[in-house]
Amino acid sequence: MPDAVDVGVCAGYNQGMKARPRRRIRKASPEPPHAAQDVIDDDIDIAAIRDNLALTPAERLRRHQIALDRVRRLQKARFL
Amino acid sequence: MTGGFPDLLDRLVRAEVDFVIIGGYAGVIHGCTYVTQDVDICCDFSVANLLALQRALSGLHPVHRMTPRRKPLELTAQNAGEFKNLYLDTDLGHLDCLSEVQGIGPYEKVKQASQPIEIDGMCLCVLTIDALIKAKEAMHRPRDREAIRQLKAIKTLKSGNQDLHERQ
Repeated sequence: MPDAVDVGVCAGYNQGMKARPRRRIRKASPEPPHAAQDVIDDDIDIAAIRDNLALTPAERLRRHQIALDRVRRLQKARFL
Repeated sequence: MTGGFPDLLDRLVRAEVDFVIIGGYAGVIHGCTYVTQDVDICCDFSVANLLALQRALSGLHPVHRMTPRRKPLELTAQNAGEFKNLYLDTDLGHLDCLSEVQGIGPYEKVKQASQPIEIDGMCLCVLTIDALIKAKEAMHRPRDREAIRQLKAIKTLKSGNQDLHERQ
């Protein structure tokens, strides 16, 4: 498999336009296999969970309370 | 503490109520991303513990939210033994108190399946991720499916991080 892909083939809208210079971007090396790979595809937002796990439990509860207060305000205003 | 559920838990701890956090809120403590609108606890339904619970909620206008007229919580040494579960509404939010958890068992078993987690200087007993998954799976409720998936992901991510730390 090539380690770079060519993304510079762009000759403009028609032949009269000056073609952009060719540009080569190094293709990112494939991610190493991750222990959580089996759950990444399970239709859940792993990034959001990772963010949460980076917080302390107290911070998670504070964040949850802010979201809950917002939900309650919306319910009160009959948006939900 | 910032108000709402954290304050509610703070009151329970200060009143020395014997309880374990279960349900969706336990999931939030473990790292789930959803929003839950009540706190579920499993507690010792002894008269002394229920009276401590009532003391903890004093001033928060606790009512039985499942009763048609939302009867105020008025526990006495005589009637406290009659309850198996309490579904309360308070000024700080809904609080559901259960005497047992499906898939785990009565309070003693639930306590054994819990872990201490420190939050802002107070030590809370929270159902472990494994026990929480077991309890939610035992209930077979469609609304728990997302929580179960998130809890399993958290478990995997945590074990992955542990492996990483061990390798470093």
